[in-house]
Amino acid sequence: MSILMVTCKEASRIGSEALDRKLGFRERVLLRMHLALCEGCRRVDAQYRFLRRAMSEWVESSFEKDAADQR
Amino acid sequence: MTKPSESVTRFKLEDLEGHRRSLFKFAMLQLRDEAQAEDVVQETLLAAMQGAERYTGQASVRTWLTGILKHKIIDQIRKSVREIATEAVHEEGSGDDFDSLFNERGAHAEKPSDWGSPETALAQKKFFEVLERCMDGLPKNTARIFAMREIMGMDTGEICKETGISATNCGVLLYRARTALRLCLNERWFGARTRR
Repeated sequence: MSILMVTCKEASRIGSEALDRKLGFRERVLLRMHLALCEGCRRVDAQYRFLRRAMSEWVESSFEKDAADQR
Repeated sequence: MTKPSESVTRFKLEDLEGHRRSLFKFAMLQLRDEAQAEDVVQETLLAAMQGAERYTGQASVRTWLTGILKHKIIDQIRKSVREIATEAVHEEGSGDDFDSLFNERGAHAEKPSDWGSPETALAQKKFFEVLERCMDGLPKNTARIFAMREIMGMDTGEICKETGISATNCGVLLYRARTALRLCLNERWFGARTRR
C-alpha cells in the first residue's frame, strides 16, 4: 500500500465530504484514483449520489401529496 | 407596476395551509419534538401569509416555504445550541463510525451491493415511506444535521455557525447519516428486491 493510496474507509469519508464542500486537490486525486480501482467504492459513491437525489424528490413529492390531498 | 398579488392568489391561505403536514414532517426531523415542530410550522405559515406579497413567483412554493421554515427552525435551534454541540458527536452509534463495515486494512469487509438503476424507486410511493422510516431511525442530532443539509439546503458553513458544531464534526455526522441511510435502504428496499 503506497502513501498515494487511500483505503475504502477513507474513500467513503472523502466521498461523503465531496457532497458538502469542494475537495482539495490532493483529496480529489486520491478519491478519483481509488474509485478508478475499486468497484465497491464506486457503488458507495453511486449510492451517495442517489441518496441526495432521493431526498430532493422526497421533499418535492411531500408537497405534491399535500396538493393532491386537497383536491 | 406589477401586481404581485396575482401570482400569489393562486396558492393563498388554503394552499399554504395544505402544506402544513409536509412542513411538520421536515420540522420533526430536525427538532424531534412535536410541540416545537408545531410551533415553527405555525409561525412559518403565518409568516408566509403575511409575506405573500413578497413572493415573486420566481421560486417554487416549495423553495419559498422551506426557506421560511429554515429560519424558524434556526431560531428554535439557537435556543438549544449548547446542547447540540456537546451531544451530537457523542451520540448513539458514535465511536465506531461504522468500523465494522471495513476490515483491519480499511477495505470493505463485504462488497457493497449494486443498486442497479435506483432511479426507478423514485416513482414508487412505497420507496419514500421506507426512506422516511430510515430517517426516523437516525440518532437525533445526526438526523438534524442531515435534514439541515439535504432538506433545507444549508451549506456546512451555515450549519456549523447555527449549531456550534465544528466543520469536522459536521462532516462526521453527515457521513454517519449517509452511511446509516445507505445501509437501511440497502436492507429494506434494494436488498429485499434483489432477493425476490
